[in-house]
Amino acid sequence: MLSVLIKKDLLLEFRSKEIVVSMAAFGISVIVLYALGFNASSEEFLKFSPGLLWMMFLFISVLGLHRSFSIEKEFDAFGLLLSAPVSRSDIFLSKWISSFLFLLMSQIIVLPIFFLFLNVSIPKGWLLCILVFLIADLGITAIGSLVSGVAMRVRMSEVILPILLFPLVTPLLISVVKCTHGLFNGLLFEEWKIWFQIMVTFVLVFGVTGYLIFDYVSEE
Amino acid sequence: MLSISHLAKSFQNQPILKDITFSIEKGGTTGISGKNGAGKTTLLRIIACIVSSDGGDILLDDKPLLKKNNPELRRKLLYLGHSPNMYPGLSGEENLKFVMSLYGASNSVMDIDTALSTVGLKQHKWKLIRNYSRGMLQRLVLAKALVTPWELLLLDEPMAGLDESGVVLLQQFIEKWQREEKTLLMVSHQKLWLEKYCHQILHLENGII
Repeated sequence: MLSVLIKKDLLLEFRSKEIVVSMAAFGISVIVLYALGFNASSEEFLKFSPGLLWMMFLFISVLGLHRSFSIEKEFDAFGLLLSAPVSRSDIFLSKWISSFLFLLMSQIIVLPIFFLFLNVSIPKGWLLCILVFLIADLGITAIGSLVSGVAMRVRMSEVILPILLFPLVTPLLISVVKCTHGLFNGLLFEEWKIWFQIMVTFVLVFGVTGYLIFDYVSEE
Repeated sequence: MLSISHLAKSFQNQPILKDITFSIEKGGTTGISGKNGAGKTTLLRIIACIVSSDGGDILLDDKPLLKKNNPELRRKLLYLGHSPNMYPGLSGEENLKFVMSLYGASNSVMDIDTALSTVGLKQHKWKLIRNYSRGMLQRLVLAKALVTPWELLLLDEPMAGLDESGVVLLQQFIEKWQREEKTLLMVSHQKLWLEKYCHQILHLENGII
């Protein structure tokens, strides 16, 4: 059933391309703004680029999450999912996975431009860097999918989503910024391991929480 | 088949349903009438597990329907509401395929082409449903009932948006389902229409049946 739900999300996005394109367009605009607006040297960028990078990813996640759940509100399609013989936990998982994939796709477009425009070198430990990015993406989209599930049932969901999401995601964001700083500056894993562990904990806590409570938050 | 007891629901401290108690027999057709805003749709959406209730119980085949994590029990019912409850970015055929996948329905119930032909939408099957008219959407909603193996059908104002031929089609479906002794629960504010088809009519007023 999970695969049916994910396929549906991917088919809708493949057809409209509105989620990934809008996320990538916003990301590229922000990078250009950073590059031209700050006019800083690559050493200076290295100091604050992890923060800028993840702030941008947080904003584009909100765009993607909002659109991903808005699709469910059109023609009250979410009503079909709720009344169908589908586990609500599977609905959460499908939204989590598809939001993760959309964020990943937009990052694949945006990251090369980020490294190019901001003169930041690709980290030597790029495999570890990919792992950190994947875990951080899973964390942001886990929290985002849970919060979006709550926000979509209320009026002005586009306002409620960031209000609920930003405070919840802040500890995760601090951790991933610290990890990215360690990677960009070539620090040893031991020096930022604690932040990595916090990040993994967040993914597990919100993933499991979303899976367990989505049944309660999804109904009107 | 369906037994509802002491069901209550409020929106923003305004009680919509106060103490709803009734039951419907297997194979019967039950109608719920009432004015606009009486809570008919809310009642149907609670039974369909789309809206949560504030209190009360619903038993479907003696099993609690409102219990969490009960997808298997929901397989028995199909809700056809005001809204299409489908994806505007998918075609008519893709939407029906998706519905069939959700209900684990095989083509043995009725294949999609036959269902779309029956409701007069075969030539529009590739079209995205955001481009369908209101009447076409309502016909597609009816096609959902042809491709899924439901035991209890919840119909909310089923005639809304249908043209004359669509209404005739709906009536033919209802008569067919009644001959097959399927269980129907219909909501409409048109009492005469309900009287024509229902074995039992319940009137909802001030949150009470």
